[in-house]
Amino acid sequence: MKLESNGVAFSYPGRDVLKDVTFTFEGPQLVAILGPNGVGKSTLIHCIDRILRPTKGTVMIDDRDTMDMKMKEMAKTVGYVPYASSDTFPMSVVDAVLLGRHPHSNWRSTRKDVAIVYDILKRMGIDDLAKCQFNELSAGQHQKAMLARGLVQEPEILLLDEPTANLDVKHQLGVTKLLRDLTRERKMLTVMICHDLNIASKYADSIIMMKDGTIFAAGSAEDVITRENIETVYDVKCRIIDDGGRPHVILQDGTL
Amino acid sequence: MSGDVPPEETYIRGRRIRYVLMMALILATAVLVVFSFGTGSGVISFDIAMDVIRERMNGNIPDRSKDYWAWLCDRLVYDGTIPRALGGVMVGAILGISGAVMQMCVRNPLASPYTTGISSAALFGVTIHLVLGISIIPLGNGMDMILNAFLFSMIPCMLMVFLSMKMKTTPSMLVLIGIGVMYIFNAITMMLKYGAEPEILKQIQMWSVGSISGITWNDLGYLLIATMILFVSMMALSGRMDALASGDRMSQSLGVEPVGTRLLCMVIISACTAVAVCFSGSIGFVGLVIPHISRMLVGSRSDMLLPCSAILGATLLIGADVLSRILSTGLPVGAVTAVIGAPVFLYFLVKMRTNGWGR
Repeated sequence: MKLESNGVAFSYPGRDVLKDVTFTFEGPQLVAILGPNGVGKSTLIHCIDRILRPTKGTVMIDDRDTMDMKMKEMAKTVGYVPYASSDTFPMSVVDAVLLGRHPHSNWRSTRKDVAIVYDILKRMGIDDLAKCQFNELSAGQHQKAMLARGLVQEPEILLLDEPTANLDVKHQLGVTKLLRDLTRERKMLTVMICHDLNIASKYADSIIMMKDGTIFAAGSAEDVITRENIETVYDVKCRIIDDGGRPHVILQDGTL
Repeated sequence: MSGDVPPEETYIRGRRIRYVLMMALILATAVLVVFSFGTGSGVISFDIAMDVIRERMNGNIPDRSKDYWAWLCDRLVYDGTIPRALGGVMVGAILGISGAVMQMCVRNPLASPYTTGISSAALFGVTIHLVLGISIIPLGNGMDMILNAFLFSMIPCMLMVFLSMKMKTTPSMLVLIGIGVMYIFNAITMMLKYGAEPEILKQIQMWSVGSISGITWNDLGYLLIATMILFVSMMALSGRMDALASGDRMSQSLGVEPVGTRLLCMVIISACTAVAVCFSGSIGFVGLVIPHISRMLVGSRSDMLLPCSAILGATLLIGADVLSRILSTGLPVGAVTAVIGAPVFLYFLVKMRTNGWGR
C-alpha cells in the first residue's frame, strides 16, 4: 500500500503546528518519525488517521483521499496506538485488547477474535497478564498491551505514538524488532514516533526528521542520522560511529 | 493454568459463567417479585395474593356487592402490588442500563441517568402543576402532571443536542451542562415551594424522593415500551459504546465516530429515563450504584454490563420496595434505595479493593 501526504498543514487557532508536510511511503516498511518535542509529530499522525482534519493539503492512501473514506473502512486500513490511553473503567487485558477487533467483528466477539488476541499477547510476551486488570499494569506492560490492541486491529497502516517510551532497554529493542518483523510478515506500513535515535537507526527502513512543523530530512538512516542534522534539529553535539552499516549516535553535549 | 485447553475456550467459558450468574439473578428477582405480590398494607398475605391471581387466571372478577372481602383483596393485589412490582422491575432496569450507558458515554464513574438534569427538570414540571396548576397539555386527568414531567425532562436533552450541534462537546462539558440545568430547575422549584400548602409540599417531597406505589396497569404499557427500546438499542450500540469508553481518539481510530454516537446514546437514555421518572419520581442511587456493582460481577464490557445492570437494577428496586413495605406502608422506595444502595456500594468498593471492578 501507499501512504502519501501532500502539503499537509495544520493549525490550532493562532498557532501553526504543521507546515507543508509532503512525503510518500510505499510497501511494507517501518518508518520512524524523529524530531524534538512539540515539533508536530503527534499532530502529523493524527492528521494521517483523520483524528484531526488537516487545514491544508491531503492525505492519500493508495491514491484515495482519506477524507473520502468511510470510518469503518478507515478503521480497517489504519490503526492508531496513542501514547497513553484514557480508559476510565477497569477491564481485563484480554477485553481491552479485544477492543482492537471492533472494526472486524460484529456486536459480540467470536472465538476467533479472542484467539487472535491471545496470539498477539503471546508474541509480545505478555500472555501471562491476559487476565490482569488493564489499568493496574506497569507503564511498560500497559504500553505493550496498547500496542497489542493496535496489532489485533490488523491494519495495513499502523501509526504508533512513542510505542517504546515506557520500556526498558531490553523491551525497547524487543518491541521495535517485533514491530519490524511484523511489518514484513504482514506487509504493513508501520509509522512510529520515536525519541531514541539509535533505535530508529537500527530498525527503521526509512526515517523522517522533523523541524518546525515540517520535514527537515527524510530517507534511509545513513542519509538522515548525520552529525549536521542532529546538531541543527536537536541543538546537541554528537559523534556518529558506524555500527554494522547503520549510523550510531553518541551524544556529547547539549544545553537547554 | 488449565492444561491443554486453548485460552479462547477458557475465555468463552468465563462468559458462560457470567451468563449463568445473570440467569440466577433473574430467578432471584422473579422470586422477589412474586413475594412482593403479597407484601404491603397489612391485610394481604402471600396466600391471599396467590388466591387473587388464581381467581383472575380462571377469569373470575370479584363483585363488590357479593363478596366485599374478595373484592378488596383483588383491588389491593391485582390493581396494587402486581402493577407496582412489574413497574418497579422496569423502572429499575431502565435506571440500571441508563446509568451504565451514561457512565460510559461521559467516561465518568460519578455520572448517573440524572446527571443530565432530567430529574430536576421533571420535578419542576410536577411542581408547577401542583403549585401553580399549570399543565402544558391540559387533558384534565391524572396524565397532566405526568405529561408535564415528561415534557420538562426533555428540555435538558434538547439543550444537549442543540449545544452539540453548535460546538464540539466533550464528555465533561456534557456533565457540566447537566449540572447547570439541574441548578436552574432546582432553584426555581425551591422558590415555588416557598409558601406552598403543606399538603402540596408533601406530594412534591414524595415525588422528589421517588416511589413506585402509584404505578397502574395503564402505566406499564409506557414503561414496557421504554424498557424494550432502551434495551434493544443499547445492546445494538454496545460494541460502539466500548470503543467510546476507551477515549474519543481511540474510538475514532476504531471506526466509531465519538461525538455523534455519544449524543445518540444520551438522547435515547434521556427519553427512556424521562418515562421512568414520570411514573416513579426520581429514585436515587440505582443508576449510580448498580453499574458499579455490575462491573464487579461481570466486568466492563458493555455486552455483559448492560444486561447485568438491567437485572440488578430491577433486583435492587424490588428488594428495596419490599423492604419499604415491611418497614412501614408509606415509606417511599427512593428513601430505601438510598439507605441500602450507598453502604452496599461502599462495602463492595472496600471489599474489592485489591482487584477493583470486574475481572
